[in-house]
Parts: sequence; C-alpha cells; structure tokens
Amino acid sequence: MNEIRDLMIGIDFGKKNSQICYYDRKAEETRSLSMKVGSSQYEAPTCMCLRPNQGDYCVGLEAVYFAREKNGIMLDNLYEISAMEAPVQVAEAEKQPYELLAAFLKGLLKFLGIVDIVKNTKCMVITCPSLEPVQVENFQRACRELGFPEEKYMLLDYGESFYYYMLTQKRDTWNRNVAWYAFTPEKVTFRKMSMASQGRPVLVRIGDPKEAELSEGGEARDADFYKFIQQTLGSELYSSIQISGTGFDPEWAKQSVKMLCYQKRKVFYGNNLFAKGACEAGVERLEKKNLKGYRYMSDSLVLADVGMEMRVMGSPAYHPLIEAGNNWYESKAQCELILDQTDELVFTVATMENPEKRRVSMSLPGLPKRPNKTTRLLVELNYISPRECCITVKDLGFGEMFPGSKKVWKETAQW
Amino acid sequence: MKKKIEQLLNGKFEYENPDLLFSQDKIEVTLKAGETMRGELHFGTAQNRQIQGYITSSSRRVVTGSRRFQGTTICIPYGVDGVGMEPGEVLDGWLCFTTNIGEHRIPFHVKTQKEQITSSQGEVFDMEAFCQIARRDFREAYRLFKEKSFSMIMRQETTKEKALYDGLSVQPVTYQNLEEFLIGMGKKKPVQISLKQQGAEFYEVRESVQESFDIHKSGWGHLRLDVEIRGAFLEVERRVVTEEEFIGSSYRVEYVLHKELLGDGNQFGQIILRSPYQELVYPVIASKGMKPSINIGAMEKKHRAAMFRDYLEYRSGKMDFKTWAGSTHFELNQLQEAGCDYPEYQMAEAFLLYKEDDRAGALEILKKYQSRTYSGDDLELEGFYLYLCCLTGSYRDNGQALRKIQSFYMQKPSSVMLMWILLRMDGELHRTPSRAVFMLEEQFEKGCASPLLYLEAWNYIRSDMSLLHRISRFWIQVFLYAGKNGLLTEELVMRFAYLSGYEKNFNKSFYRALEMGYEAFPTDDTLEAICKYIIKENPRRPEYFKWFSLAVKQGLRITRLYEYYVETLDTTYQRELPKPLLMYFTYNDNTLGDSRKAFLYANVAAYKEKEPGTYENYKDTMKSFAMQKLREGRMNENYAALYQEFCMEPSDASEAQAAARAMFTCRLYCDDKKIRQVIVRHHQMAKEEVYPCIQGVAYPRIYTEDAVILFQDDKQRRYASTVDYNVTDLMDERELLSHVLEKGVAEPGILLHYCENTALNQDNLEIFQKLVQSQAYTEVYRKSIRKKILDYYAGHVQGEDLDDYLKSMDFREYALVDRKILLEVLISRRFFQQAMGLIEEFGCEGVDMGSLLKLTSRMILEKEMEEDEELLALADVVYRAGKYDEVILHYLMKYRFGSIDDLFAIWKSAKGFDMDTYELEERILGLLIFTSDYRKDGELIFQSYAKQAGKERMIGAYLTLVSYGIFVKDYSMSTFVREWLEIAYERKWPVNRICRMALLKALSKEKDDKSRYEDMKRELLLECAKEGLVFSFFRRLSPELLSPYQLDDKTYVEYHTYPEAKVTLFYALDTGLGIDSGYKSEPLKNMYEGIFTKTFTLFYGESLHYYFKIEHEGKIQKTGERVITMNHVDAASVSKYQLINQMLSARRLDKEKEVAARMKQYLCQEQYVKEMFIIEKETKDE
Repeated sequence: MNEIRDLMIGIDFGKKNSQICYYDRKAEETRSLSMKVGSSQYEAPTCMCLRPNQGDYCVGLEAVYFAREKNGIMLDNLYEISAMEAPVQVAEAEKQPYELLAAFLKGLLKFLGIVDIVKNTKCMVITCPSLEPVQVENFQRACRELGFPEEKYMLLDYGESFYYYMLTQKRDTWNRNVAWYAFTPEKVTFRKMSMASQGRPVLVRIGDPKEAELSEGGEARDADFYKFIQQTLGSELYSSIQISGTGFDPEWAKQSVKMLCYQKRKVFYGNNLFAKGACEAGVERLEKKNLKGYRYMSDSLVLADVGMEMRVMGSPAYHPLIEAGNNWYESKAQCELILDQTDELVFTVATMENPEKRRVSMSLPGLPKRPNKTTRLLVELNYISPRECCITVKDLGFGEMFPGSKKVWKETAQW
Repeated sequence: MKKKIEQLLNGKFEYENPDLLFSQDKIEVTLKAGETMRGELHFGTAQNRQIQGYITSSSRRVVTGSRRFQGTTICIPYGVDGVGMEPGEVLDGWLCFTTNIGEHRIPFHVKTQKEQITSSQGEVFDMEAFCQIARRDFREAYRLFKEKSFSMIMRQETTKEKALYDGLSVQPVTYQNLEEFLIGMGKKKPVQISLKQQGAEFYEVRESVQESFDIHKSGWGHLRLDVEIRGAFLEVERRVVTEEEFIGSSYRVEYVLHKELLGDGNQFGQIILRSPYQELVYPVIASKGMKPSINIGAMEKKHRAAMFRDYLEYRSGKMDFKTWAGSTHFELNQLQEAGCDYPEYQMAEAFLLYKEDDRAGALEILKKYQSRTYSGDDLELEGFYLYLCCLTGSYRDNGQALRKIQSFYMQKPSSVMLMWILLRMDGELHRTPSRAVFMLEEQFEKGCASPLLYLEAWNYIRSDMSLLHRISRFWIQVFLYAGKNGLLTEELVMRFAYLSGYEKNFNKSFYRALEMGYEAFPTDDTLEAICKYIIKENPRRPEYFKWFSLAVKQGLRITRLYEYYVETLDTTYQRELPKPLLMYFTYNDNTLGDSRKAFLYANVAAYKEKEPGTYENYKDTMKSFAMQKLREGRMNENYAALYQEFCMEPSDASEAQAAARAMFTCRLYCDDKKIRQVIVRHHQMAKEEVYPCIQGVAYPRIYTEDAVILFQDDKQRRYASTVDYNVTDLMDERELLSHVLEKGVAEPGILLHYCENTALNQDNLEIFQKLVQSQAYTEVYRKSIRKKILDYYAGHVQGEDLDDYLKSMDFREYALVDRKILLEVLISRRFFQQAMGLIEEFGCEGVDMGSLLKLTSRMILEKEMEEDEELLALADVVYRAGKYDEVILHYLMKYRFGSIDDLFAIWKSAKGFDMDTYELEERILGLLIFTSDYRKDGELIFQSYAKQAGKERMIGAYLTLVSYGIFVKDYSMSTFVREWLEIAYERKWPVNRICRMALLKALSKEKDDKSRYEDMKRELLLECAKEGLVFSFFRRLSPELLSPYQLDDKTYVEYHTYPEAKVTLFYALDTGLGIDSGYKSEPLKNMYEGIFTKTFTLFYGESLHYYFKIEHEGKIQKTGERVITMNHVDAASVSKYQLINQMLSARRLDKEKEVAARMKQYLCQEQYVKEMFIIEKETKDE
C-alpha cells in the first residue's frame, strides 16, 4: 500500500472472521489488506493468541499458527468477549475485555505497516454485526487504550456499513432498492435497503430481516434459496443484489443465480463488504461528504432533539445539546452553566414522533444554598443505548468564593 | 643464598641493611580495559650496595620483567595486563622485593579507565546533558556527536535508539544527521521556518536596489536553507543560510534587484528557501513601469462576458429564448446604469429587440446611428449596424450590404463578429456549408479561439455529419468544446471515433476529446477506437489502464491488448484478473517483461483457490520462473508472492541460500521526493544495509522489530523520524526459516532473526554459535549472545552432551563476555587445560573460589607437580582466599618463593595438615638468612627444622644470624636457640664464633650456676681472651673465670653501633675528690662487629662519667652522659685489686681494723710475688 498519512481504515470485526482495509487515495478506492502476505486472503479468524515466550499477542492467522505450533494461548471468542463486562482469564492474568480488544485491534493495525499509527490515521472505522451498549463501551475504551482520540475513530453496525458501502458504489447499483442476502452455512437472511426519495434528506432504511433455513448443499439448497428469493424479491424493482457471508457458492446456486440476475439485476458477491463499507464511511463522512442529502435510518439513531433554554451571551436563547439523527454512541454533549433563580434543570425535548417541544426537568436535591447566580454546574449528556440518555450534573462551585461541593447528580432519561 | 650462608658462617655480618630506595613508592596505573601497559621501576641503595634478590607479585596482572635481579641500581620493567578487566575495575596488590638487604613491598593500584565523553563544560553523562549542550551550542554538540565515545552517553537508551545513533553517525556525519538524531530521540521538533511577508512588488524601478525580507524560525537546532532564485534580475547575497546566521529567531534575506537586467513589463521572480523539510517561496514582482491601475472596466467586462455566455447557451440550445432575452436585457440594463452606454451595446439591444419581434424598438435605436460615420477602427460596429439594418429592413440593398461586410471582413479578417455576420448574411455560405466550415477553420488557423467559432462549427457538423471528414486541430478543439458543454451527440462521437483510425500521430487533445466522447456515449466502437488510438502513442502509461481494462471487460479483440493491460496495470496490489487474459497468457507468456510476468503469476497464485484450473495450467512455468528469479535475487511484492508459493521448501543448500537472501524483505514506501536511499540499521549488525529507493519504493530487509530505518537524500544527509513511510512484509518466513536453517544457511540476517526470536536450547545451540562466529555482527551483540550461551551452559552443566559444543568454542571470545561463567562452566565440565589457558590470559577475578580450587588442584596433578609460573600464581590466589587442599599446599611449598610472610602462612597451613614441611622450612630459613630477617617467628621454623635433623650448615647459619642479632643488637634469646647454641657448641659444628659468644653471653645471664657450664664458660672465655675480646657482659661472669685474664677488676663501657663508625669516648674519673681535670677523650676501637668496648679499673667509690660521640657517614651523634660508680666489693677475692677495694670500702665504713688487715694481706702478697717471680728475657719464638 502506498498510503502513509491521513489513513482511512475500515475494520470489520466479525463474529468468526475479521478483516481490515484502507482507502487508497490515488486509486480512489478501498483496498483490503491481505492477512497472509503474498496471498489474497483478506479474512482472518477473529482470534488472538498469547505467545508465552514473548508475552505478546498475535492475531488472526498468526494466532492460529502460534496456538497450533508453539503452544500459544488461544482466545477465539473475541466477539463474545467484546460484549462482556467481566474480566477474562488469560493464562495467569485477568484481562479486561477492552484490553483484549485493544490488543486485537493493534494486531490488525500492524498489517498497515505504519510506524506511528495514531498520528497518521485520519479515521479508523470499526464495524461489527451489532452494537450493544457494552460493546460500544468496550470498543471506546479499547480505542482510548490505543491512543485514538474520539475524533479519530468511529463505530458502525453492519447495517450502517452496508449503507455506506452501497451508497458509495455506482449510482445505478442503488438507485432503486437493494437486496441483501447474508449467508451462514445453515441459513440465509434477507434485508432490503430502500429509500424514501421524496423529501430531503432522503431517508434510507434497511428493512427487518427475513430468514430461511437452507438445506445442506447441492440442488436442494439451490431450490431452497430459489424459493426464498421468490418470496423476498417479489415483483419489486431492485438495482442490485448483494450477497455476503460464507455459505453461498455459485457452484450450487445455479437456478437461484439465474433468478437473481433476472431483469439484468446486478449481483455482487463478496466477503469484504463491511470492511469496505466502514472504510467508505470514514471517507464519506470526513472527506467527500457526497451523501449529505441522505440519511440512514438505523435502530441506533437518537430520535430526540435535546436542548436547554438559557441566556447565552446575555440574551435568551435555545442551546441545543443533542441533535436527532446520530447514532446513540456518537451522541454526547457537555456544557457549563450558572443557575439563575432556579434549582433545577429544564431540558427542552422534541422527538420525531412528538415534534412539539416538551420540557423535562431534573431536580437537584441537596444543592448547596448559595446566592443567586453563584452555582456553576457541569452538565453532561451521554447516550448509553438508543433510548436512554444518561445525564450527569456536577457542582463546580463558584471560584474561590464557593468551592465546588463535588456533588454529582446522575439520572437516566428516556425522553 | 649459599653465599650469604657462607658469609654468615665466616663471620661476615652486616650491622644494618641499608634501605632500598625506589623510584616510586607506589605503582599507580590507569589503563583502558583490555589493554596492557609497561612501566619501569628503579631501585637501589644510597650506599650503592650490591643487591640481589627476586620479586614476587600478588597478582598475575602485574608482573616484572624478570624475577631475579642483581646489581647496584636496578631497573625492573613491569607490565600491567588489563585484558579481561572491566572498565572501572580496580586492582590493588603489591610487588614484594625479597633482597639480600631485606624484604620490601611496593603497593600497586591498577585502575581501568571508565570511558567518558567530555565537553568544554566537563563530562557529559547522559542524553539530557547532551541536549542541553546542543541547545546552547550546536557546534559543540556536533563535535561530541562525532566522537567515538559518544556511545557512552547512549548507555541508558534503548537498543533502538542506539541503532538510531549508529545509523546517523555513519560518515559523512552532517549537521543534519545530528538534527535528525535529536528529533528521532524525541528531544526536539524539526525547525520550522516561515515568512514574515508573503512577497514584494516593485514598480518604477529606476536603479538597482538592495531589498530584504525576514524569515522566522521556530525552536532550536540545525537549519540549513538553500536559497534558490528564479528570475535573472534577482541576486541573493547568500546561497546557503544556516542557523548561525539567524539573530534570535529571525534572519533577513538580502537580495539585489538589478535594473539593467529588467526587461519590459512586469518581471516575475522568486526567491526559494529550501530546508530539508520545507520550501518557502517569496515571489518578487519588479517592473520599470507603473503599477497597473485597477481596471475600471472590470464591471463592463463582467457584464459583457455574461452576455456572451448567455448567447452561447442560447445558441447551443441550453437556454430558451425567453430566458436568454430576459437575461440579456438585464445585463444591458446594468451596463447602461453603469454608464457604459456604448454604441455596441445599443446595437446589441437592437438585435435583441429584433429577435423579440420588436422591430420598432430596434429601428428606434438604429435611427440614432443613421448619420454616424465610422472610422477604420469601427469596422465591426459598422458591419453590425449594416446587418441590423438589413434585418430590420431599413436597408434594402442586401447585396450591397453583404459586399460591404465582405470587404470589411477582408480588411479585418480576424474579426469573429464580422464572420458571424457573414455566416448569417451570405447566402452562398448557407448553400455550401463546407465553405462556411472552411471559413471557420481558416479563422481558427489565424489564431482565433472564440467559443463562438467552435459553437458555429459544431452546429454545422451537427446538422450535417458529412462535413466532418477529417480530423484537424480545429475539430479537436470544436469537439472538446462540445464535450465540455455537453453538446456531444452519439453519431458525432461515433464519427469522431471512426475518424481517429486514420490519424497517424497521437494528439493529447484528441485523446481527451475521445475520452469525453466515450464518457458521454460509451460504446464498444468508441472504446476500441480509443484503445487503438492510444496504442499509436506510448500505450504503457498507467493512466491508459482504464481503457484496456474496459476493452478486456467488453471482450474486444485488439492486438496486444492483454499485454498492454498487464503493462499498464497498477501492480501494487492484487485484484482478480479477467479470465480470458489469464488464458491468453498461458500460451503467450514470453511477451511480458519479468516484473509484469511476476505480477501475473502472483495473481494466479493468489487466486488459486478460486481458479484452480488456471493455477494448474500455470504451475510449472511459474515454478521454474520463481526458482530462476530467486537465484537472480529479484525482489518485489510479486516475486515475493511467487517465492512464497514455490520456494518454501528448498531442496539443497544453494536453493536455501537463494531463498535466505530473499527472506525478510519488506516493501517500504515513502512519498518524500528527496529520498534516494533507505538504510536499515540493526543494532546487532556491524554494518548497516543500504537500499536504493526508487520512486518512493525500496525493498529493504528487516530482521528484527527494533531495527531502525533511516533515509538518505542526494546530499548524503540522513533522516530518521521526519520522513513518513509504511512498511509491509512481503513474505511469511515462518516455515521457510527452519528449512533454511536446516540446510545450514548462515545468512547473517536470518541468524539474527532466529536468535532474537527464539529461546536458546540444546537443539539450536549450534545456530547461536554460528552467529557468534560471524563477523557480521557487532562485538557487543556477539558478546550478548555469548553470554546467553554461557548462561545456558551454566544452567546445564550437568548435561554431558554439551561437551561437543564446548570443545568447538572459541574460548577467548567468550572470555571477553563473561570470563567468570565461562571458567566455571569449563571447570565444572572438566576442561581444565582450556580454563587454565583463559586464566593465563584474562585473569581469574570473580570466579568462584571453589571452582578455582578444583582447577588448581587438578592442574597441579595433571602437570605432575611440575613448576609452572601461572599455576603457581593461581595456587597463590586460591590459597590467599583461604582455599586450599594438600595438593595446592604441597605445590606451594614446593615452588613458592615469595614473600616471607606468605611462606610463613603456607608453612602454618601445612603444619595444620601435618605435612612434611622440611624443605619449606629450609627455604624459609634460607630466606630469613638471605634477608637478614631476625623475626621471632623464624625461630619456630628453625625449631621445627632443627628437630627434623636439618642440615648443619643451615642450622649453623641461622644460629649465626640469630646470634648476631642477640649479641650485637641485643635481641632476646629464646630458650630454643639457647639450646641449639649449646648443641652446636658441643657438637662442634662449624658455626661462627659469634654463636659461642652469644652462648657465653646467655650463660653469663644464667643464675643457677650449674657446674656443667663452668667448663664451657671457661673455654668460651678463653676463646675471647685469645682474641683479646672483652665485652661488658663479662662482668656478670664470676671473678674466678675472669681472673686468669685479669678481667675481674675491670669495669666496661660498651657501645654498639655500625662497625665502620668512629666512636670516641669522652670520660672523666671522679675518684671521690671531684672531677679534677675535665673530660678526656679517647677513640675507641671496634672490638667486634660494631661493639666498641673500653675497660677501666675503678676502685671502690670512684665513679666514671662518660659519653660517646659517634661519627657515621658524616653524622655526629652524642649519647647522654652516663655514670658508673664502683660500689661493689667482692669480699671473697684476694686479688690485689679487690684488696684495695676492700680497704677502700672498709675505710669508708670506718672499719679501721679491717683496713689494717687487708693492707697487711696486700703487702704480703706483693712481697710474695716479688720474690717468687723473676722476669726473664723474652724470646722471640714465644
């Protein structure tokens, strides 16, 4: 690879396999990094191995090798670990899940061959099948552990990654609906990406999954899939069909492929969709910004606008804190304020279902009594799941006149 | 020594040994660890005495040139051996000079130098201090940086940082290198420069002037700016600026503007300042003329341009009439308001009104110009007016108008406006559009590039495609214009593509036009045309890849298409190649260059799982290709992939060697243009490795994770951390590594990688040893590996199977690493000979004494007790540490010839072991005798020796020595000596007389007057008397013994001193009447060996006052006055003398009677003698 600085990195942290890719500015495309030098093997098992002699970790294929040949200690449930809160026992030591994640990410990043990775990275985008609150927490801590500041990494679930992947392809592959078949050896899941192009921004949705069991292989599998295609695609118009995951093989899918290609629909099959999508997401969000007119409607979106009415620079104003339309794990806000003839905080909330502004107040029991306008508070809003917003208020006092009481109020709100 | 014994036995004594004088009291040596040094020591005595003896040293590190010496002043060379010592180590000890004038010790103090680096401010201890210096004085820092011992400062830094230093300290060391070093160590940031002003402009330059501008730098450190000028009229004072020229943080760049070199108009020049990291451009504009005033017509221009644009849009059909008209009206209004109510705009308005069917409005305007006369410059305006008049019908004679306009056009053929009017008015041109087109082309040839021209032309060919029958520059421009403005039609693109086939030469613009055409209407025909067209030029440009790739995708058949496809392909990464291409190359693979071939093959290999059939087809070709290229040493990512695929199991050593050379190659990419070379510095390796960097790519071999990568530019400056890069591995060597090592490959890098990443064990010991033997590594690293090996041995001393390796070891090298462990291992593995050899060379400090004991003991036995200097020294060391066994003791006893103290200790130890110490005792005695040592302990030895029936001569000599001490120097006598004196006397040993005298003296002291000694005493006294020797101790003898020699009435004064001294006695006799005549002096004669004696006959009551004056070697010494008073009377004696004394005594006591009786007796005796003895004449022979 010929990228040296301002790297855009996409990492697909899968349940079984992971991969990493980067954006090549010269060729203007994302490129996967081979997990095994000299080969085109872009996927490697999501696993890590502690090398007892060296005391360090190696990842992916290397890990498999060391576990097999050199008695390394294998950790092959990294995905599960990513969703764990409790520490994990590795050899003699207890490790926090985020530490292990950090080690794994570090191992993956080594494939880039960049010396000072944090400095030279513009954005590292990690995608994984879903993003539960614990996972988000773990990933965030792992990134912090690696030295990535907040603005240098992003998290996406597969859905969003799919969205970015699709919308950065040629337009004729997505101007209508896009079908997405995700395979596992046992079953196939269908999701439809559709967009409501009437308004601006165009809202892009990925529909709820439909699943079907598939037979073992050969014609029966082909038949099963064929049937499923009929059920799912129906008579709607599709620009392209994306197939991901292991379990699909053109060898058996004779009938079904014909069916897929019906009406000149373009069918793509690949295993690097998510990594590339993640990478494209970074490029899109930070550099190209071509998708301004589109919005991906994910389940992780925060749907509430939260703000406060206060005097800003002396005049009454609405001070927005949280804006709807971002993923919950990217939604956070912080501000400092001085209480003026009140001892509670009032947030102004508007949700998508409920567009008129509501007032939600938060009382601050035990707030020290001080003269008016001498209580400075630090208010932090932090989403901990798509619906729950954690509000933290700290009493900062008022300089030397009224030292802060170090009181902290915490509340979780569901607007 | 025998001589000394002889001398002693013959009564040649030394009163006192002269002092040994040394040229230095102490040997103090400072040397570098591992070096040796020579020195000299002079010694002698003040008296220039002949001295002889020998020297022993407490350590083998300090040895003298010869062990024995003889002479009056002696020069002894000595050597100090620092081999095996650590820097900073200190060794204390002594040299013992055992001489015939005694034993002397000279202490020595050997210190090995600590390496250090000093600046003008003193020693520099660490990086921090160094940075301080660099901050203060970069020059000084540079000097230090270049010094060899700079590595001392780096002691505490990591290996990586050391490697960084190694890499940057390679000759030629530039200031830049130091700068990079400091940046690399994270001690500073690169120096940034900035301009304070962004440029300068000079107008009305009347004469040459000097000007300047300031630049600013941030931070401290080295800076070198190369100043380049562009523009002949500029001249700078300095071509190179370094940080020293800066005052504080700024520098003023001075330059001269040469008026005489200024041309006409504005001259643009640049002053470019280049640091390795930055390039600053300072633009200078100079002109002899005025500064151009702001164009007040900008507004007008803007509106004109807008109108023109609108017209073009309208003409090309992109704007409808209404919009155009509206917009143009607006613009014209604007112009009018701006005061630009020029005729041309009015006419334009008239034209617009006409177009809007407002004929009246148009005529209204035209009326204004009815009577206007036009000058030659206003041809266009006049033409336009005429045209408008014709249009509106106010001018009926169209034919004349046309002729007029034609003539105008002839007069001003470059006018687009007139042409435009002609195109509209000339019916001929309407009928034969080819003529019109020809006219347009002609216009273009004249240099006209108006979009209007292109648009007109495009409109012609759009309406009649056949007008386009050949490609010219004009048509290319027209096409580009159309492409840019989205006017292309499919037919015309196809036509254009078709015509491209007739073109012989490549034209960039034409290519661009085609490109636009394809973008607008992608068809296979156009694609083919483009491909064929670019093949006419240089088809290997990477930017053409997209065409070839499209062509391949569309399945077009073009000669060499596949070759061009591969050749233009970006080979930096692998993607799946189209199948037909792979099939094609199965049979046509000799049409590709090596590196492309490698790419192709690597691709096939990479996708072998997806396309196993293709892989099979290629396999054999690929394999042989891979092997061949591997041998040739070719490398890049594609070759690497092939090697990975086919060369992972080398079948013989040569294959393995070839593979080893390719291993650990990485691909390094950096986009810094100045970089020419990439340098990899492994701190373990003796040398750095330099790789060329071509177009930002290098293929260095990196064996360890802590290798440092450096960059070098064309000026030999090196960079470390300021160049960004990325490195990727090209091969996965895990499997290959073991294969290669099995085949015995000794490629340094491979060994290094292995040894850095693998723990030492029995199986790979050989590999580690191989590494150690290679010169490719630094001594430090080899030492560290040797240390590892040694530690391994030390941990596995029980393993028998290690001995083979041990045997093949180069012990010397290992000794340099850790002598201690090596020796312990060797000793425990019973490699005594080797261990001994190492000790001889490197010393044995620090080695466990138990091991040394074992070694010494074994070696002594092995050598069958033969004398060996080194072994003896070793035994000595072991013994001194308190470790010994019988063998060592025995050996020491046999050969040790060292200082007497040591011998004593050995003797005592040997006694403790109940060993036979006879010989040792004899030796010690000999030494005691030799050095005239009177120590009391000596008598113990003597006792033991004598008891074991020692040699008479030896005993005699020793007794003589002791006797001398006792007799002359008044040392006390032990009973044992006393016994042996007696024995010697009785057995008539050939001892010196002094023994007998000592015996006599001893006897004289004994109170219990045993009769058995009476005879002895008598005989001894007789002997003395014969020689005329009298000593003061005689007074203790009984008068009976003395009387025969008339010594019973004597009082003695005696003084012991140097035999050669001149002793004068001063005395005064007080007979009880007071000192009468003062002191008398009398020189005394040396009675015996420095005993000066004089006898006086003192009578009772008399006292003698005396003192001695001693002159010796020019020194005069006086003793205090002493008094002897005679107050002893022997009542029993009837000698004359005693009788007188008795009388005197009695008289003092007023015993008159007794006085009378004694007087009577005296007189009687006197009478007897007179009568009974007659003196006869003496005969000669008596």
